[in-house]
Amino acid sequence: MKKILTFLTIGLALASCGNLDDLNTNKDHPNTVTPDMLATQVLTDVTWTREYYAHKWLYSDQWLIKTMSNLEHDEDYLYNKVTRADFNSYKFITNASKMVEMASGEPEAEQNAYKGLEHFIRAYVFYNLTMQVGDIPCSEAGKAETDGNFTPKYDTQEEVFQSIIAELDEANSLFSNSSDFGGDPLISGGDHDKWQRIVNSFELRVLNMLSSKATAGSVNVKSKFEEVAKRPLMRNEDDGFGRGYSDAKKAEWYPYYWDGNMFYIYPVITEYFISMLKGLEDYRLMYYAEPAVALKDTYAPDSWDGYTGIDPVATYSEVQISAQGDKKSMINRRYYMDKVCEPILLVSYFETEFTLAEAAHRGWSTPSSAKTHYENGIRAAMKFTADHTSEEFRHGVTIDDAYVDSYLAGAAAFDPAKGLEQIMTQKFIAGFCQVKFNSWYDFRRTGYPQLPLDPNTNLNDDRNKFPMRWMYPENEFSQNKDNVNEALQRQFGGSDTPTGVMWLLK
Amino acid sequence: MSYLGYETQFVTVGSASVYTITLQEDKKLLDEVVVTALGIKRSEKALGYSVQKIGGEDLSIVKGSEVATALTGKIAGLAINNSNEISEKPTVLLRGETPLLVIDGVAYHNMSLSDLSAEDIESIDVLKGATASALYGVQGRNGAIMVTTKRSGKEGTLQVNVSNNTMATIGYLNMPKVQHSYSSGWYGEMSYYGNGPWGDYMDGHEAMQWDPEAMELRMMPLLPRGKNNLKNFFQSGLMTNTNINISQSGKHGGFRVSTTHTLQKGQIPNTKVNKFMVNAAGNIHYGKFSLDAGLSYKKELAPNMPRASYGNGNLYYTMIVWTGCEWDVRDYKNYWKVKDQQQNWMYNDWYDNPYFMAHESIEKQDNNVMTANATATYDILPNIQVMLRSGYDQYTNNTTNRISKGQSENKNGYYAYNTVNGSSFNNDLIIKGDFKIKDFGIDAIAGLSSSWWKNKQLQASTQGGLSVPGYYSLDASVEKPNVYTATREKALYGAYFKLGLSWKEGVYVDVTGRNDWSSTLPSSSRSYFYPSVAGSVLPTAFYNPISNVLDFWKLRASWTQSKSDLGVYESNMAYGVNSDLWHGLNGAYYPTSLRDPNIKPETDNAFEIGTNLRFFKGRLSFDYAFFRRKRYNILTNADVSLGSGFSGNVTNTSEERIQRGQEYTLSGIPIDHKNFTWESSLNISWAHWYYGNIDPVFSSQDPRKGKGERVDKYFFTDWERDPEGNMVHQGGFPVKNKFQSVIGNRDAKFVIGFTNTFRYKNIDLAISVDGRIGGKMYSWTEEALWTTGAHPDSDNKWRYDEVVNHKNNYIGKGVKIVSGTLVTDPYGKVLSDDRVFAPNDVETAYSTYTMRYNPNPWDLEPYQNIKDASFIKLREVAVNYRLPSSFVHKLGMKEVKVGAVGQNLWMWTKGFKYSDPDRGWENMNMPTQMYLGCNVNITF
Repeated sequence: MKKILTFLTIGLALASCGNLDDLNTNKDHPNTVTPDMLATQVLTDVTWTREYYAHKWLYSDQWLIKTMSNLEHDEDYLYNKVTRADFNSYKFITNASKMVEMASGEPEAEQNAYKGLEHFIRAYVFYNLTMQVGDIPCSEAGKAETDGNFTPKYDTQEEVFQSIIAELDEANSLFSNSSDFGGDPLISGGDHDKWQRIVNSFELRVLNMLSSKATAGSVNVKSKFEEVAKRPLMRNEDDGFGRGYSDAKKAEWYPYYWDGNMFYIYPVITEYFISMLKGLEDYRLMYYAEPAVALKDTYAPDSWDGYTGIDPVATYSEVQISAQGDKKSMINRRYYMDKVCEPILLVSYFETEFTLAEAAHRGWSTPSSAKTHYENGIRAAMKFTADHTSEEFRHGVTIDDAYVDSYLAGAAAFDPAKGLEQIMTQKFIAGFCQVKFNSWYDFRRTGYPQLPLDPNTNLNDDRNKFPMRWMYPENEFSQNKDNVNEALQRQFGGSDTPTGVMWLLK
Repeated sequence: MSYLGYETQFVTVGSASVYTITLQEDKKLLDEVVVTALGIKRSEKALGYSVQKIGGEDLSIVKGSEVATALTGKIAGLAINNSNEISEKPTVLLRGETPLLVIDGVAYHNMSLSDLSAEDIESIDVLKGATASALYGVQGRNGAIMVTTKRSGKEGTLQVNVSNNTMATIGYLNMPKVQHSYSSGWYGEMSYYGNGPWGDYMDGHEAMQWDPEAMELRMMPLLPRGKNNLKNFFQSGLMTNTNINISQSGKHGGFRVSTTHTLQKGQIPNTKVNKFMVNAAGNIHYGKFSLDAGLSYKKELAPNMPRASYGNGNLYYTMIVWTGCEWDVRDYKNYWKVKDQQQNWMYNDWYDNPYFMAHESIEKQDNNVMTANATATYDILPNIQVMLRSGYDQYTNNTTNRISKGQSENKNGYYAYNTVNGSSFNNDLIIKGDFKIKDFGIDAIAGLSSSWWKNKQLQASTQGGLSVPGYYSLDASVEKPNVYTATREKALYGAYFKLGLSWKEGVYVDVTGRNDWSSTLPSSSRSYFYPSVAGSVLPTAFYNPISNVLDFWKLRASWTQSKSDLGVYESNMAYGVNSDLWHGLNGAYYPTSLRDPNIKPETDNAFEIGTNLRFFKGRLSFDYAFFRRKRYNILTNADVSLGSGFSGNVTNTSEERIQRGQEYTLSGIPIDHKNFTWESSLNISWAHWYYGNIDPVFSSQDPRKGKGERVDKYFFTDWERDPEGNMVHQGGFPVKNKFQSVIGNRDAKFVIGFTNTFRYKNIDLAISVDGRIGGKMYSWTEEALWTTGAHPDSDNKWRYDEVVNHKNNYIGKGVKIVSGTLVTDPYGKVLSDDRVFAPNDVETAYSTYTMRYNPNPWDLEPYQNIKDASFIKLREVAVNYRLPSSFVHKLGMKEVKVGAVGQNLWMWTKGFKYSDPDRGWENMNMPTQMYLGCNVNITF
């Protein structure tokens, strides 16, 4: 009896010893995947519209640039309170490098496309982070697995910009020498020609942000800009870098659609933005906003007088009380009643045209004149808005070629004497709920269009000024202390505040 | 009558001619026998570590639905967090960590105390610390709770026992309160925008409101109709526990079958848990062979487990936080406007009719677990025994969620089906021997063990809503349903020995060793060994000049090294996959944590000393333990700079953590008279973790997390302050600091338990009090009440002025900066400060200020409302009367006990006014239910 039991147990205990590795392998997770899967992931990640907090992702930059306020509750950005940046996007460069690794078996032309995409992703991630904070880890970033480096040093912002330009140059030449690639979920659809245009249009944005600098490291900003301006650039918004939405499935609806988003009742338009549009007799007001419900019986929906906004620099209780009784214009219903609405663009054609207009206005060599680029930008932006606003959301006004012509001949006619202000104002209007944070960075750089500020309600550290930067993430002070402190020391004398002025803005 | 070693009993002599008197062993006087690792019974005096035993009868004084609740406060070092949420089981922590649960010698992977019936428990022995459970290897490093279930009783008798404990809610403790002056709305205007009760003053003036009768908006007087909404909505709670068991034993064995039913009816309508438990066990002795085997099965059914934290679907969230009391919940019992499609309710977004939530937005559970075990023993020689023990468990938990169309968040409805099942198979083969040579005793054990564990999950849910209102099925999915599956498995093999030496029954030494092979570690470090040594000395066994005072004195000490492996698949560096991520394309992502390929097991070195003294023939006893463990080679997913491309690294860091703790138990019999006795026991314990070494890369570089600092510090963002501590204001509002501050520690300073039993003739009165003192906890409920304007203290003159007189005249208490700036390092150390202050004099709207000062609780970082979590609770009160045996015998029964019982009858809290901190964390905690009821126990 006992012998049988003994052998039985020893047998049981030893039988599967050799299989322990197999037992500890998760069959639901593969060890290799295809490069297109990584491309899909990384491109959805960089264009993410966080499901539940869609309102914050989508509109928080609009609060900062005072086109919109929020009737849900007081938010930091409404009163220029800027807090800490988030370094989570570094993980996108890890997935991008794995994508290239997994593509090693593909034909060279397709490998080039994935390599080009990796360079673009790196440039895009570094650009967004350095624009927020200043110096960032760049040359040593993303090297934990390859070099065992868990504490990357910070490069100066100038070095970072030089690296971004190099990455984009490399991406341009790779895409010019590549085939289309699989796995692109965006409106570019994996078309290598469109990608080459995205890369170059983005590089123009990067160089234009350096407008106050002659050089970034070894790069001469003006001549590099002029070189890039000659490359293939975006031709229309179908060439844009962004995500399109569909009514086919709930997961792909426009992120602000009312079913599943309970915040749709809160976005209210500011009087600052409404009067800017009214001053230009810009019909986009009716496409961006709703007439105030309380004025509906008094004015027709196409009447300018039916639109009135809140004062973005008044105290929050004044804002709220002024909006009571539906007395203010809310965001246009299409943003939450149209499942498709419009693509959310992060780099766009209209932006490229305005960038070229600004450069031309500055005297840099561009394909056309400042006026032509300015008008191209306006036409593109108006067409984009009109194309994505169906009849029921237009409030009885039509933006068509005839209207655009009259607009360009009227209040918006290009006047070189105030060219910069006009270009920046048009770019700002076109950027409503688009090209996230770009209008803020343009304002920070040029001061146009002038945003309202009241020292009594401004919550920036310096109540007479707008914030200049975000602070570094808290995690860096606990896990990469020496490097972040060194970066703070050389940039801002050691203190991490929103008032510090980064290299780019000096 | 009395007999040495047995409890004194008093028998009333009546007319019967024969009296059967069962002598009960007096545990206080004789050396106690406890169950130790592997289920081996040993004399407590021989142990070099701390073990505390509690008898099954002490767990049945007040029988609720959870055994762990009855254990609360009764064992030093064992802290039990009892939640008032119907969906949550008590959390059991031994010396701050989760102990292993061993039932009749088997360490099942899928059983919890909640799957046991108090009536089936003979005793529970709590093995504190790693030495006590060293033979369980990796699973035993946090100590073990050893449950011994009941077997058949005395030979030759058939025994039937029927018992019932029924309790009903008689009231609530720490019920939240709300203000009754202002309606739903925003900045003094009555409205349904979902901004909380910051609305209009409710003085009866006409305002547009939802009429639940007409089911439309119309002008009605604005009045506080729903002052008692919460109480009016609650149903009376009920807790019943019924058990029938039957047992018999004969010359060669016995058999016992027991069935238990518990019903717990929650406060929220349509919440209850029905638990059915069957337990059958028997044994056979034949010559040198014996076999003990058992089967158990538990089924648990719940029609709805409501959300027990802040957010859509939570009752507080809807009823007290975000809506005012201008509506009366009793008018909303008819919750349909259009059946299965539209609610009778004022809001389209955010919140739902509470009756709709209770019946049409539900999570139904059907949980099952069964166990089978067998232990065969064979005596090779009178003192050498071989034993084979196998235990198998299997569970299946099915959860279905269904949400009707018209719900605020899932406007088109939702249905999900989730099934989790798993099993574990655990075996031990042990050979053991006892030898005696003159004054020396040797006992030796050697064994092999194996354990397999597997867990599978399948979850499927509708996407895009339901195709037909009221049709709940995966087939109702508008789009292709979403499906998710996961499998996890693990194997662990062990070989172990124990060698025990004793001398003159006064000196004992135990040495153990175990080697484990774990599937979750890489093959290079898969095999690892843990030793332990423990000893005890009984000076009184050799010399005791005051034996009339001191009965017994023991000193004990032990040291153990225990190791811990990784979680299942944690060493896998494999991709995650997202099927149909966008436009039909699949996504894949690399892990966000790196995994070190050369990981080793994590190691704990635990050291413990203790002493036990007994005086006056067991009238007074004192037990003390001090323990310290050092945890090193810590296996963790260490935070790293995100700039490295990863958020974590699974590795052994050079960080060390030290835990220190102490436990005191004082118990005795202050009064021991013929008709009246009083037994009392008091225990106090604590255990805290501290940082030892700090890893230069993988530890936090925050100096406040340096060597010697507490691990459980509560970090939060404070307001900027002047050197006197006054809040600094800008634009009339307080300014948030740019760095985190520490507001104390999260863990309780100490845990206390105090139990008393008074016996007068046939009447027993048992009172049990317990609590946790100290420690900080965030009150999510209060923060939410403040931010939404529902807090009763927000009903004040500034608010009245704002709403009724349209004056924004609130001036926050504190200062404003006239000139200068404060410069600190990122950890809050002041580098320079040339600020010049003036009293804050900027008037603001009271509501805006209140919301800035108590920001939204979903922002996750608490700024305010971190409170002292101390509490003391009157856990159990029971009066039991044993009917005179003469009378009982005439009815053909052996024993009848009847009694009145109560639970949670009183509570003291320091910082928590509107919720019960007993849960261990506070997030919309339901009020404590005060239970009162009766108890009947009949033995035939």
